[in-house]
Amino acid sequence: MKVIKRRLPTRREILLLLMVCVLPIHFRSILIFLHGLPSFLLSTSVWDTVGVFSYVQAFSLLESVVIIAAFLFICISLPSKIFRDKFVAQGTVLIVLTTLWVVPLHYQASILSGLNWNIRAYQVIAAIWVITYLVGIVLSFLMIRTNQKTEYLINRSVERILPLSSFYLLLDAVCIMVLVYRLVS
Amino acid sequence: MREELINRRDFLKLLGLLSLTMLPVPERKVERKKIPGQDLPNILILVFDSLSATNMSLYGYPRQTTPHIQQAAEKGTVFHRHYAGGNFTVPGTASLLTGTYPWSHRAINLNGIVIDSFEDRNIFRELNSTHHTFAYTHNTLTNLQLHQFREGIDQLYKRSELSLLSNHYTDGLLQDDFIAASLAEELILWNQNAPPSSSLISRLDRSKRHYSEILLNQKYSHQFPRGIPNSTILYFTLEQAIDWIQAQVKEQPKPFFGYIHLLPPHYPYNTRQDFVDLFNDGWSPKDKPESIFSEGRQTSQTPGLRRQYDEFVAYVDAEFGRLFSFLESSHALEDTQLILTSDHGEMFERGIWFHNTPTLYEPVVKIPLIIWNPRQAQRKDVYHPTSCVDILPTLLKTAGKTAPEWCEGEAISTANSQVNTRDRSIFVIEAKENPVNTPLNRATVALIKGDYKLTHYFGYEQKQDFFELFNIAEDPEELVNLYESHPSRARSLKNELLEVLADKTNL
Repeated sequence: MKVIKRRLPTRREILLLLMVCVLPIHFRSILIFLHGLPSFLLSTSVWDTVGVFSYVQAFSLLESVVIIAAFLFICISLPSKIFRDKFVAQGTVLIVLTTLWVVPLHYQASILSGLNWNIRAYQVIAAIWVITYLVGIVLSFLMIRTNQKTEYLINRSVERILPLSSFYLLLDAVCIMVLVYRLVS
Repeated sequence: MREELINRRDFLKLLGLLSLTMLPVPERKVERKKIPGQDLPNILILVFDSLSATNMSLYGYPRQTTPHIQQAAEKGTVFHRHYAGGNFTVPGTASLLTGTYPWSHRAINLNGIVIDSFEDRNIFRELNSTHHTFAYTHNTLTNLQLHQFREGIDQLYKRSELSLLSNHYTDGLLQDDFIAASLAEELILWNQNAPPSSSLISRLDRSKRHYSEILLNQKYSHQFPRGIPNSTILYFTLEQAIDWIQAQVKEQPKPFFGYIHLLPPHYPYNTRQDFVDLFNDGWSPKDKPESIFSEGRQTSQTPGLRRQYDEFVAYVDAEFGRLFSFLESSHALEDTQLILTSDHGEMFERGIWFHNTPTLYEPVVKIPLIIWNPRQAQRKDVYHPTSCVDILPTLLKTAGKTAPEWCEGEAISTANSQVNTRDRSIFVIEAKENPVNTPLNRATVALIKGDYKLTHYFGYEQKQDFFELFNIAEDPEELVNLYESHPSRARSLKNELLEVLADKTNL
């Protein structure tokens, strides 16, 4: 247990990274919900629409927690100096880059049809996608490790987004209460 | 010094054990109740989604798409002018199950559900006191409605019951808040109109699903070269469904009322190997003018798509034939009323494909209805217009009950009646762009009376309100609009339609 504890970041660091994780995931889920909102309002009651929103937000929180759990698993599995020592800064970079790089994945079908189903061209694009992602992560990690100012700037930015992330967490709490009420009543 | 409770290796082992939580939870057994009225016949409704009467040889289609249904119909009652409540699943099924038109139950939108008051006004609730009721559907939209009617359904089966592969998680979870949870699941994991709201888990789920689909398609590629019949994330075969129905007929407590809604021949038209290219005959139907609501579909591709649909209908027909043979040989038809119908049709004409259209032409709203009464030996044909809202009162009559006051249909004659030609008004409504709780401002409503069909289009952007009038008996292809040339007929039907619309749609 002590070995595991020693490899884990502090509670504050974990919470900070959770706040970072919450931001893009919730922003995206609210955006998608708003896209579908007119259809929900057409076909279901306002209370059911609130229910749908609550499920979507609760799932976003769950997804954020799963991602943080994965990061903690990395911390436990790898030597401290690789990830744990720069947990917030490196975790933030991973979240931001992954968020950006995941977007095209949802448009695979459109990309493929745009390429007239040319699989070879698609494979080239996919390879560029993977390489740029990995290079982006390696370069960012290197910058964080070699340049203290980079780490400082990232940590400062994280602190600045805390109010918005806190709002999302508050919203999640309300949504969970709504779901409990719906399931119990 | 305190002893370590767990080391890193043990922690990793524990994580491995977590995978056990993915094991399926055993299903809750439903207790069967004793039901009064043992001498009443069983009732079995079989709905094939998107089955257009105009593409069935039973109703005169030139391709032999339904030879088995035709043969079975020799012992049943065939309704030649039977209409759906709307032109897609939501209003079509809701009208069938509630015996009311869409302007009353208000299940009019995609993902739509009936208004609260209809949760207690439906076929299951009405038959529940005399019959053991059970229901199954492949269709996600119908499943929402069945969950609304759950109070009257003794056994509501999950979609996974008849699937080779199902990724509907809400089927197993959150049954008490199914509608919101089911809509949320779609938004989170497999949104079709936009990217899913989940960034990461939806990707993992999609990859898992994709992998399972590849394995499944490899396994069934010889039997289904165009792919396995499916509905986005549910894969199934009719063979599996028909075997299951046979088992239900034997095992369900009697008398039972079963509602089974199967997706074929809904798109994608993945027919079985023995029907692939069955209708590669070069035949094509009459050319029809482009509709004002044309989707601009390429006319060169339309015959191929229609042929694939017809070949899928032939698969449905063959499997229905297998079921009917079983019911006959097992003597189940001696105490069972069997109903074959659909929720809406399908169209491949006027620049429109499938059924997502504001129009109400015959292919998309004229559906089959065949009723086999217990021990019926001779075929009967009914030629006057009937509607799916008539099914509820008809079944109640079978159960010795009268139709409730709120029902908008009429019990229709089946085995023992003569051909009926009376003029009765029936309606078909398409209003998916209207909110549930407001008057219908943008809709298409058809009034069918005698030989005539008047269709009123109103409220569509950049299109003036207009009417179309066809004599269906003389012009079944709806090629000659009589609205201007038959002013007196047009006026009387128009007045009736507008009067009913004003009465029914102004909430």
